[in-house]
This record gives sequence, C-alpha cells and structure tokens, in this order.
Amino acid sequence: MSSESATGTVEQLPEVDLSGIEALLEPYVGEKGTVIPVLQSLQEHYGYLPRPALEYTARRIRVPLSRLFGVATFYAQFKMRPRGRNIIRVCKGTACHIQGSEKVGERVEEILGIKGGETTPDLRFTLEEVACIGACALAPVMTINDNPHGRLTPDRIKKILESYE
Amino acid sequence: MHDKHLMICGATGCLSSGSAKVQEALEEELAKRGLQDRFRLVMSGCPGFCEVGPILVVYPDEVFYCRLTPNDIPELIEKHLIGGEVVERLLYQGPDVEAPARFYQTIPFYQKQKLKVLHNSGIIDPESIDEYIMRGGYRAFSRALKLEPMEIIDEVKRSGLRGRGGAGFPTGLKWEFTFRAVGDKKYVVCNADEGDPGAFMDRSILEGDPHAVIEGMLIAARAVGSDEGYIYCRAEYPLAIKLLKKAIEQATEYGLVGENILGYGFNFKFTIKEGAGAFVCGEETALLASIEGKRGMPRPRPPFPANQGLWNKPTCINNVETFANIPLILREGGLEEYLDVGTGGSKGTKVFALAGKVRNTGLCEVPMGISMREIIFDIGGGIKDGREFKAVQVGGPSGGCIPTEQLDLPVDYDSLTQAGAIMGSGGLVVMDDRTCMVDLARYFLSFTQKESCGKCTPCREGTKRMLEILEGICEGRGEMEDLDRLHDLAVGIKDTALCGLGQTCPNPVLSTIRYFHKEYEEHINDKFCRAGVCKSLFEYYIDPEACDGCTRCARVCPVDAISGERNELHIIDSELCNRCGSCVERCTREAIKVIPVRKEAEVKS
Amino acid sequence: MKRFIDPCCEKCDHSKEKPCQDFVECCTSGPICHESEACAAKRKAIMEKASLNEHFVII
Repeated sequence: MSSESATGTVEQLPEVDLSGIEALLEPYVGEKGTVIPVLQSLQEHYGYLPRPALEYTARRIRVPLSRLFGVATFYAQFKMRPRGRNIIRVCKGTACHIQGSEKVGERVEEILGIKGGETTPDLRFTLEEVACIGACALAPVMTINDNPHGRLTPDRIKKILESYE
Repeated sequence: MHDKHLMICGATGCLSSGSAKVQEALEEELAKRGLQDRFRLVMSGCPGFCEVGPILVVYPDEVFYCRLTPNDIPELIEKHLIGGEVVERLLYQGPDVEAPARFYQTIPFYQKQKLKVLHNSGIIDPESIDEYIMRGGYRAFSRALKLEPMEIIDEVKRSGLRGRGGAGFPTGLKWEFTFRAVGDKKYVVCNADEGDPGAFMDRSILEGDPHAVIEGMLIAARAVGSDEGYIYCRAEYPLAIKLLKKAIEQATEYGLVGENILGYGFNFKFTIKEGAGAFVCGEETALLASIEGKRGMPRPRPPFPANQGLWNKPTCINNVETFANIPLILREGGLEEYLDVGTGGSKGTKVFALAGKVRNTGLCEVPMGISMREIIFDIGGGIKDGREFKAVQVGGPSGGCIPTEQLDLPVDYDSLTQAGAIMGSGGLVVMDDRTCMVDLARYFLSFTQKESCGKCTPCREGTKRMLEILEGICEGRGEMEDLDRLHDLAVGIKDTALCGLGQTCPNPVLSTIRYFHKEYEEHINDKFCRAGVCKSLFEYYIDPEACDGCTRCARVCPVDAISGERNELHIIDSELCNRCGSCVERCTREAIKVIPVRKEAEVKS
Repeated sequence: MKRFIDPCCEKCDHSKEKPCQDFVECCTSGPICHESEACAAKRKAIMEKASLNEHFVII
C-alpha cells in the first residue's frame, strides 16, 4: 500500500496549533465507524496529519493511536508530512501510461529533483502519484492544484511548472 | 417556457477540457444581452463523447456542438440562438462523417449505442429531482412498494441481471440470500469505489443521473428488508459526491427517503462514505471494513456479506451500474423490454469507458453481445493517427487483452472469460503498435503490487516476484525460463490469494503471454522492444532518406541529444538520448525509427 | 407551483410527514385524488419548462 513512512532522517516539523481541534472532533465523539472521516477532516484542517493532532484525537475519540496510525498509513489519501503549495498529480492510469505518462512523470521528477510522494525543500511543489484521474480524453494528463494539463509531452513540462509559484 | 435549452456537459471529462469556462461565458453573454429568461442553461451529465469536449447540445433543435471555447460563444448566441442558423464550424467533423454532423443521431459514435442506463445522462439536470421524475423516475420504486419482497426479487432474477462491478454474480440471487438471511438489521451498500485505472463509467452515471442509483438502492432495500444504506464513493469524485448529497436531500424532502416512505411504513436513510484511496476497497469485504473505519483489508468468504456484512449484519452490496439498472427492470412493463436486449447468458446493456489509442475516447453503452470490433471501430472510430490496432485491455488490472484475431468476439460475460479477459467493471483501453505488451503486463503488476493490501502471502509476495521478473525482462535481463516462472507464480496466486483482486491480478500477465508470446521472446532473446517503450531495449535512429532537416525534433529534445543544421540530416546521440520520445511525436515524416541497441562498433561504422 | 412537491391546491397534502401513496404518479399524470383541469395544467407547466423537445419529453 502506498504511504509515506515515518522513518528516515529526523526533520524539523512545523509547530502544530491544537486550538480548534476540539470543535473539529466534537461531531464524531461516540459515533461508530468514524476513524476515516475524522482523519479526513483533520487533514482538511492541517493539510496533513500532524502527530500531536493524532495523539490528541486518539484520546478524544477513544481509539488507540496505533489504530489511527494504521488506518492513516493504509490509505493513499492521508499524508503524514506537510505538503507543498502546489500539488502535482501525474495520472498513472492505463490510458495515460500507454500514451507516455511515465516519460512525463520522469521529466517532472528530473526538473524538480524529487520522486513521487516527495515535496521540494522550499515547499513549492509536492509530487503525488494517482492511479487515474479519469480524464482519459486528455491523456497523458497531470493536474496541478486540480487544474488539468492534458495531451502532455515531456518538452512541455518545464514551462507549465514555471507558471506555478 | 424557454425558447431553447442549452445543455452543457458539466461532468468531469468536459470540465477538464474547460466546460466551466464555456458555461461562464454563456451565462455572462446571455445576461449581457438580457436573454437569460429565453434560454435555459443547464450543466448536465455526461453525453459520453469526452474526446470532443466541451460539448453543448441545443434543444429543441438537437444540435450538437463540440470542442467549444469561450471565444465561440458570442458567435453561437448571435447566429444560432438569435438567428436560428446552425454554426457549422462548431459541429462534429471527422473522417467518419462526410459533412459536419448536426445531430446526435448522425454522429457515428452514437449510432450503435443503446442508451438505457445512460438514458438521462446529458438530457436532464442532475440537480433536479423534478426532471428525473418527469422522465419516469421513481415509478419503479413506487411500484415496488406495492409488491412483496419476493415478487421484486423474482423480477430481478428473471431479468438475468448480473453484477456490473466485475465478477458478474446474478443480482437477484444475491438479493434473495440477503432477504433470507436472519438478522434484526440489514444494510444496502453501493460500491462506488471505482478504482480501475482508465475506467470512469460509475462516475459518469453518478454525475449524470444520481437519482437512478438512489432509486435502485431503495428498491433493493425494500426487497431485502433493509432500512439503512451506505454509498461508498471515491473521494477523488467530488462532483459525484456533491450531486449524490443533493439528490438524497431532494428525495428526502419529497418523502421518497426517510420515515414512512409514501405512507407504506417503509423507512430508509442514506449515508455517504468517502473512500480514502485504496484500490483494494473495491473488493466488497474490504469496502465494508473501510466503512467500519478500519484498514480496508478483505477477509475470507464465506461468510458472504449477504449473511455477515457491515457490522456483521446481512448486507446487500452492489455496484453503481447494477443499481442503476434496477429501475429499468422494475418499472411497469420494464422487464419485457429489458429482456429484449442482450444475449442468453448476459442480458441488458453494458457501459464501457473507451480510452487509449482510439480516436473517440468516451463513454458508451452497448447491448450485450455486440462485437469488440464494432465498439472499437464503429463507435470508437478506429485507431488514432491511422496506426494499427494491436489489442484492447478489458477489465483493467483484473482483466486481460483481446488481440486482433479475437476482435469479432461477442462482448458478454462468458465469451470474455473464455478469451482470458473478464467483463470487469467496463474499462476498455485500446492499444496500437507503439504499445509494448510486456511493458503493459509490467505496468499492471506494478499497480497491483503497490495496491496489494499485504494481508495474504500469495498476493503480497507473489506479485512482487512477478514484478521483479517482468522488470528484468523489460531491462534486458530476461531469460526464457522466466516465462515458466511467471506462469507458475500466476497459477499459484490465482489458486491461493484471499480475495478477488489477488486472484485476478495475474490475468494481464497470462493473457499477454498467451497472445503475444513472440514479443516476450524478442525482449528476452533479441533484447529488442519493437514498440519503442522499454528504454534499455531500443535506440532511436533518424532515417537519412526521410529526414528533411526541419529541426522540429532538435528543438523539442529536452536533453539536446539531436544535432543537425536546418535542411540537413539530423542525428541522435544515443548516449545523451533519454528515450522520452518527444521527437517522435513532433516528426511529421516518420523519420525517427526504433531500432535494436547497436554495439559500439556498429555505431562507428 | 414551481416544483412537483408544491401542492396544486389545498386538496393535496402530500408531505414527508404525511405522505401520499400516489405521489410519484401524481407528479406526471395528476392530480389523481381529485379532478381539476387547473391543477393538471399546473403540473404540466412544470414539465413543459424542462421538456427539451418531442423526443425528450416525459418518460
């Protein structure tokens, strides 16, 4: 299952502001089957799942931290680290693959110097992998902040990336 | 009354090609001219023809405009809406029509389709329950409320409807099991976690006609005796989720969902659950675990969900398209009409997402039993850029490929299984001579390997080993014994993996070996990838006869590997070349050839 | 009356609290519980508003 592991070098994560988390969790307390919706709203709030927020949540909704962590790392949607200002998703669907998405993805990695799932040190870009965004008529396609860029060739990538600050 | 209705496709396909901007331009321009009351503008569901989006159909004239940009709008309003004259340059044009095609019905893409499940898509406003009712919506449910549960189940059984999500299990039987299961509480669950890469049928149904799915679920609930339902939808489908929520709200307001529905003492409520991105959650037991808030991992069956499903209660779980078929069957006189379409073992229609190297990418609904050739060449318009058809992948990572020899195969559950593919959920990805079948097998395996949940060993470890072997072959390290190893692993995984996804994931490998053995041999023995995909196994070479020195290739090369003066032969430096293929795309004379990797001596001479 | 859920006259009392069994049929071919040309016209007007042409009308 794709997920970002918590291993690796120690890095400085930003301070986490826990005010407001109570209001976020309140509707879920005592409900069944809420782990995923809780994580989804935490991520919507913070942009990723900060550990202090997970620890607080575990106590508040009375679910072991290990289970929250288990669920969070199982699903591709959940991110354990801060993400960049611009989210790039290169579609890896079948229709895109056979029309050259791999070459497009490689070009993006080459230009940004990061691999899929990583973020540039200046937090300008995060490169995410996505199974299929379902815009097959535009294959190969990538989205940046949900703006689709279609019918791509590797030589067009640089210009497109430059247009995002 | 409105003079004209402007139905602009607001589904994800056209939105990505810019339909929202076209809609804004239309709205602005109409307002500017004070025409907004004369013309009704609707963001409709998907008319299917994604290739030529954004699409606008003008009614009552039924004129079909495509590939629109905001700049086209003033002319369109001036000429057509006010002047009553069709704007010819914005009509559909293509090699498959002699003159620009004015109407839906004259476009070849639509001619062999049979729109049943999609009969409302693109025709109604998906945000309006009134329009759904106008088109006969909720009549089947209203009728079902008067029937006994077994009468409903009997009609579904007689219709021959089989699950549209992949496995093709008879829907009526599934309902009967759930009906007969003992339990104080039962659930109806809709699987809208469409995860196959290259498949978007369910999304289009949800975006074009959300009430049809809700009605299907209500009927199922009435049949099996359930009062609570879940729709598990991919979070990547925000528009579908938004429209579903709206539809449920409206149906609740109308008294079609909630307590004591239409006075029959029947209660039903909906919850929408957003998936969090895990392919394995398309498997029913994994999906149920995910609704319960756990890691989405499958468990052994039996017990089947019909007996022990969500929170261990009897659960009827079907896919989006299956539920959307139900109102067609249950409405007055629907069953007879339903039985008219399809083949003996496969009744009704199937929605396919047609993509890849086919001219007309889009969504089509065809009667079961139609041939693959008709889908790809008549509806799909054949292969892009005049190239040659090689194969079509049916059923995504769980399916297999169909080669040229099998193109006349009728599309139904049994024929496809015999050919080594599966009906699957309905993704059709068309491939041409520039697609490498070994790489395709590697691609699907890398997908299933990444998405394997890791619970059972055959899938977790087996797919990894298969992937390593395939990567070896693609990188020039293959040996002929690898094919036997792949075969043994594949059979082992098929026999022993825990869930349907694990059991079917070797299919793409088996079917490419079956139909494209030569291509594997060429990769292994000649270290050559003829299609020009596996980077270690070919070089680009500019044919001196064909090159006219136009410099296009040199200008696009991102690594400056191409040299040559204008009007003179260009040369590719294979050492520098990263095989990205941008040059091939740009060359208008097909001068850039794929050749086997040359030894140093050959290059020098 | 702008939508099907709006009552055609005081004789219609369908609501989610007090539902009518004939509600769905009534929307497109009503009124069913009483006869009134005026009421039928109101329902028809809703449909006409959204009827695209003779091919794509009701049902």
